Amino acid sequence: MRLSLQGNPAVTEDWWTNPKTNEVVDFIDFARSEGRFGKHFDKEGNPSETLLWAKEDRLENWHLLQDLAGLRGGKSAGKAPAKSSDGTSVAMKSAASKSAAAKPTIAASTAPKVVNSANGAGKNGAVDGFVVGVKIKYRDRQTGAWINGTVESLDPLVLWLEDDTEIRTTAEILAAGLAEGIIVQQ
Amino acid sequence: MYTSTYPYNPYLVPWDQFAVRKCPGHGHGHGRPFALGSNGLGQQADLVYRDGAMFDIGFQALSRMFASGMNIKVFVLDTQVYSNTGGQTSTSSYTGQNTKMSVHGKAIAGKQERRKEIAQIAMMHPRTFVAQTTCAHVNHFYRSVLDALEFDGPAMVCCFTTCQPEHGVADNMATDQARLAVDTQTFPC
Repeated sequence: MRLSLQGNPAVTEDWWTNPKTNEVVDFIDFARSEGRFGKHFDKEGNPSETLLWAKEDRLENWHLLQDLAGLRGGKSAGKAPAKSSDGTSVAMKSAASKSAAAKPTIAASTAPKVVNSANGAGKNGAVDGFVVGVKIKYRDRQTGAWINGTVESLDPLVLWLEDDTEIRTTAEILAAGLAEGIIVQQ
Repeated sequence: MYTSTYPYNPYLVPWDQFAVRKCPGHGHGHGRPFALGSNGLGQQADLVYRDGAMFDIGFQALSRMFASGMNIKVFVLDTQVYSNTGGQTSTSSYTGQNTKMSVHGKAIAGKQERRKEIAQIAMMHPRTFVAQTTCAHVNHFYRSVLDALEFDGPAMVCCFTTCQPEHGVADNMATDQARLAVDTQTFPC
């Protein structure tokens, strides 16, 4: 599961500082620019208590997002999530999916690649003899039991097992699994 | 529904329109016959709705749709009010916002509840894709939509959208206000 805040102006700060004016910009500035919050400002332009509470609400919401993205207070603050993301905003992908959770799949050493990006974007080369519908057997590393399955799709490469697990993988890793003997074509 | 029933309508893709609160359930139930963009893995249905439908009266159906794991895409136009019925408050409205049904008066200063964050709720469903974006962040917008379409499973894009008369802003200010909403953490994207 990943969350990216890429696209926001100051991902590690509470509020953004406008570089042109060197002024901090916050929810009160937004409210001041719209008629729907107009009654919250007195003649001097000071915000009401309700609006200050709304500002706190926005900050708390922002802190929650920063926490989820690992950008606040934690050891990885300011690092990976923003850079390693794919650029989609408050984008969370629980891409690990049931296949990832259920099975470390094929070769443990290559597991992170095997457990798919879940978006079907990967292009795969062909593996000899593998067409949609071909029956396979997969050996569960933990129990040693063989599980029957079929090739569900070639691009992206998806294997379906009878215990209702989907394995999304690549031709390269499938070939490695075949060579290792944990996947057998029936 | 204001057009012919599927498939007797003028659109080149399977298309229909349903009452707001029924939308996700409808997409869910018709996910297979409504094969808009098959990616080789299954069928896909696309839904477009506003915050009133997705945050409030269609919320349960939306959650159920996510839980189904079906390849359904939802695009939410988040105007923070029920725009099509005259600007009533929704759970998407901001604290203090002056709307119909949370009018700013002498006793009560606008909406007194916090805003519900549909993106955070949606992304806690297993194996979903969720993005928040705005019309002003063009690259970000397209990236969010394309990634949602590409994702093999339920996906939601929540887009901040100005409702000029209800927000009290000029008609040509939609882009500026959307930018400011992101810059001020009013609507992080």
